[in-house]
Amino acid sequence: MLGYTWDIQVKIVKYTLIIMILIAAAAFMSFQEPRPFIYALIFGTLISILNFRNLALTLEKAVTMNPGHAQVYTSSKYFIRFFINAVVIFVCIKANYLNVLGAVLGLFTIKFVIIGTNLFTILFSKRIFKRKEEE
Amino acid sequence: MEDANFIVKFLDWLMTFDRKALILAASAIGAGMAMIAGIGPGIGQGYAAGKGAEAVSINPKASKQATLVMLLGAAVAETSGILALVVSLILLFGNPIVTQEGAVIILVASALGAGISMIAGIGPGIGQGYAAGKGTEATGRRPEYQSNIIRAMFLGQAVAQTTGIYALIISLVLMFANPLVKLL
Repeated sequence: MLGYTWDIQVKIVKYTLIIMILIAAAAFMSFQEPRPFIYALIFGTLISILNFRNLALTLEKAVTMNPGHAQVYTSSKYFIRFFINAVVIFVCIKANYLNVLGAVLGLFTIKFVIIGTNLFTILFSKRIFKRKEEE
Repeated sequence: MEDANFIVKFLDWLMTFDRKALILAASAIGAGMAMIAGIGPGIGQGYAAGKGAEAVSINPKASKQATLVMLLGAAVAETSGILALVVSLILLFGNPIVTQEGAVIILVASALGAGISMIAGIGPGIGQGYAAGKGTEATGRRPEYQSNIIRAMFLGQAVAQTTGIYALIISLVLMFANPLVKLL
């Protein structure tokens, strides 16, 4: 079962991968030795996508629980993802062939995409100037 | 009088240690302090999930919309935790302060300050989680206004994130471009 937020997950992952490719292409053209940055970027982005999928599965399950259990379950899952993020950043700091900046950028790309796809459309939409009664 | 002053005694005792050891000790405390920010998103996401469960139980027909809003909101609420992790792990494994020139007491305080600064991440974590929870609750009640609720929620979350970013900037300045060392 893919879950009922599957469509939005696919959309966000698709945009995230496109942004990742664009950043990687920019890094390829501007850095003298781009490989550590690009590898770390891909690593960070893929882990953030997996974390997002994990969050989706967690929340889809949490809504079927009672509120108290849902809080504890979601918070405990958050700390697992927190630990996974720590491992990614740790590995990128320790490994010479990975650039930590690339990994951090990769981990945040999905957040920018989520805010960007939902919030920035408001800037280009005239709907915010319309009154509710006119709709 | 000075002999009886605990602070002077403590500082004298601190100065008996090697310069590098002092900075590393301060970095260890700073790294631990920075991780306190990890609590914020934990509480926030938990709150959002609780509200999601409530919203679905009140209006089961809107469970899809409510979960979607909660997923997006909760994903953004994680950001402050990752920022704190970055600072903490830089202090532990890529410490830039150890190699810096300058008075040791300022460098020690900067390492501590860089970590303490990141505690501010608790605020955005809880605040964004709260926004996600309320957004989910609102969607459960009025699923037809889902897109408007999502926009309002993200606008609030983006504003809430700014204090976390300010904390990160201060922390990075203290670590990589410390202005205090040059003042002495």
